[in-house]
Amino acid sequence: MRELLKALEPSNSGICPCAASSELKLRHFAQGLLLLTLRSLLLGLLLAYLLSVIDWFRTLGMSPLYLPFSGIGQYQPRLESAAAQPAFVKGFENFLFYFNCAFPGASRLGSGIGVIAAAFWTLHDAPKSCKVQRLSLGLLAGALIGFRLMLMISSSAFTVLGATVFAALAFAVYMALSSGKSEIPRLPLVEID
Amino acid sequence: MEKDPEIGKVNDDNWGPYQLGPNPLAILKLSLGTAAAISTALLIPDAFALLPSAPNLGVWALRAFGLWAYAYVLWASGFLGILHLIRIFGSPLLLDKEGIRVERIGKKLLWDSIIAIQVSERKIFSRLFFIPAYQMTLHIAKADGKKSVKQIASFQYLPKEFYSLFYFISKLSVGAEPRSVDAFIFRESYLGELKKISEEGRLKRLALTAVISFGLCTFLGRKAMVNYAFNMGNKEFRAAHYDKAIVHYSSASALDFSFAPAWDRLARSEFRQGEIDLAEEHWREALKWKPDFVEAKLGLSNICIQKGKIEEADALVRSANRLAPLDEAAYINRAQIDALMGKSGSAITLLENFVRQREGRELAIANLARLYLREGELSKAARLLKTNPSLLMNPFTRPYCRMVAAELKLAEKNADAAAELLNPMRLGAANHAELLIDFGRLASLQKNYSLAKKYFDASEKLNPDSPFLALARADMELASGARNADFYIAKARSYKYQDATVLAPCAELLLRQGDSKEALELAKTSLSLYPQNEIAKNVLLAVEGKSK
Repeated sequence: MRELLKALEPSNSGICPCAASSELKLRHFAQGLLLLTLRSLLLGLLLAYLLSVIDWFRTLGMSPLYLPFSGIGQYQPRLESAAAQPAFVKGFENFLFYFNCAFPGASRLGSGIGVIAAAFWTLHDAPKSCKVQRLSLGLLAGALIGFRLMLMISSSAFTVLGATVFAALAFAVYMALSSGKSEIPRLPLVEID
Repeated sequence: MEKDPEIGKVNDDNWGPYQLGPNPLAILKLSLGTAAAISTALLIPDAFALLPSAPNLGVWALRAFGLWAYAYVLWASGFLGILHLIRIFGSPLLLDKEGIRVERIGKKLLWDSIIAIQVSERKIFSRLFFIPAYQMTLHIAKADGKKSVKQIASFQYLPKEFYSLFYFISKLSVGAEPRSVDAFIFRESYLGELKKISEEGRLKRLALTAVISFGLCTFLGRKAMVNYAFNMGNKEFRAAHYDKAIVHYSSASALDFSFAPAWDRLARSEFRQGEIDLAEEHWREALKWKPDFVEAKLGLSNICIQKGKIEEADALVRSANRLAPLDEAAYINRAQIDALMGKSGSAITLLENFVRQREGRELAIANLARLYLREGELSKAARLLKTNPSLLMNPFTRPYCRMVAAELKLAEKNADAAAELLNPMRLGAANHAELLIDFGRLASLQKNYSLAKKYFDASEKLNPDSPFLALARADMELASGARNADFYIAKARSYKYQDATVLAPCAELLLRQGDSKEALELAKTSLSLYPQNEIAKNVLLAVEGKSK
């Protein structure tokens, strides 16, 4: 992770060397994606478990008002995808299914907060990175934010996928077009005598 | 931190430009500090609201801690996200030799126009949020002689950054070097005016504090009342006192109309009281405020099933299945809808797997038994109900299970046993389309055809498209010797989602009418859809026996 972070700061000393090498561009692009993936996994899981533990305290000793949640079993119902759906949408529907299975109850909210926090954390670091990395970070951060926010409103694979793609493109364009780290130096610090 | 060698040269023509954006560490400290204060303030009403449901002090304390931690995480993460959004998309302070730009779209404030700079600590916020909270007020004299103020809060910056900002603004505008972060630096010629402005500012701050305090007390007080009413409702709900629960949930939803769980529980209580229309309205209200509310979707789907809005029920349950694939209620409703959409075979398989893995799930067992009944597999249904005596013990599922048990007795033509099971539910039957059919079938079995017709008419008002109502009516017509059986058989056959549960009884009715050829066709079709259908098998045997 430390090496990844270090690799994300090549533009501090001027133009990024990846401007002249397509192989390096690809590497920087992948490094951006990998960093955010790791961060979102880490924070998503951490907060999911944290909220589950907190929820246990919150509902201590209460008998459930609804039918209880249970583990995954053979009886698990699967949604039927229409035959005409593209394989990508079917794949996304499967991903949604496993995501929703993995985070039931309070952990659903926790994972959502974790994933969005990871996206913002990485966007905060993005101005230090080169254009290619800003593009990849914007793409994945937008996808994560759009995906999780739309999941609060709709459960349809098409709608969630649409929001994910739209947010990914919007963030990617914004991050790629933004100038990165400001050229104006930070205000010098003065100490109280 | 190093002391910058350039700071002595602020009057140099080459000074700046410099920028000062929000510091991530300061933002983090602010969100954590405010989270501690806010979650503690929110805990006061919540702790009070927890009292009715906590069995002892220890459990109450642990639940209160859970609530505090929940609010802490939510506030800290949410507020941090908002501050970062502002940081990412906002603009930093820009300072150069001419002046300072505080807002992205605002005009630059020239150093000459700043007549005084006041920095004072906001002690309440410092103590509440565990961060040094200062506010810098820039007094500005406009070209037309009017005075205005601009304020910069310290919470987005580290203390050293804020002091540096104060230092440079003071030095560049008034020419004085502040030695403390808590100071009022001004041009002497404006002393009289500044005193007046300062006094006005003090009064405005007091008024604002009063408004905020009032708002906070009102908010927390209201929240305490909402949560207290909600928890009281939960207590009554658990004790199955639904009429009392309705009163409490109504209060909670009236006090906070955006509180989706109160709408959901209100609807749930009304549903269990048989107030179907009210329950539908309130479940829709819950979904308006929380569109991914799985339990509200499932509750509403139950009503849609009862009212024959199968497509809407299907959409609701599909959505619930996607949002919570492990939810058992969603699974059971899925099977119910599959059965109504002409896929009773797959619904039976799903429920059989479920019941095998999850013993003692009354609602699933009752649904499976009902499907067996509709496929004519009476022995299987009877065995299932007999081996699960707890079915009639669970207060939540009891009415539905009683109804299925009564349907078994009706299928066995045992009117007395069916009446014994159905009669206690007569009061709640008025708004239950399926229960009304069962009462009609019972009356028909008892040869009270006029009463049966009344029940069927009432059921038709609630769900006019039910094929099972049409089948029950056709059966009554044949039993009473009336001539409208054809009409009702045709109506059942016109049902959009055909499967063996509808076609096989149609075949049996046609056979009773003497139309062996059509009955044979329908029985064969039924068996091709569900080979174990006993009704179709019996029709087939009867037709073959006749031909021999």
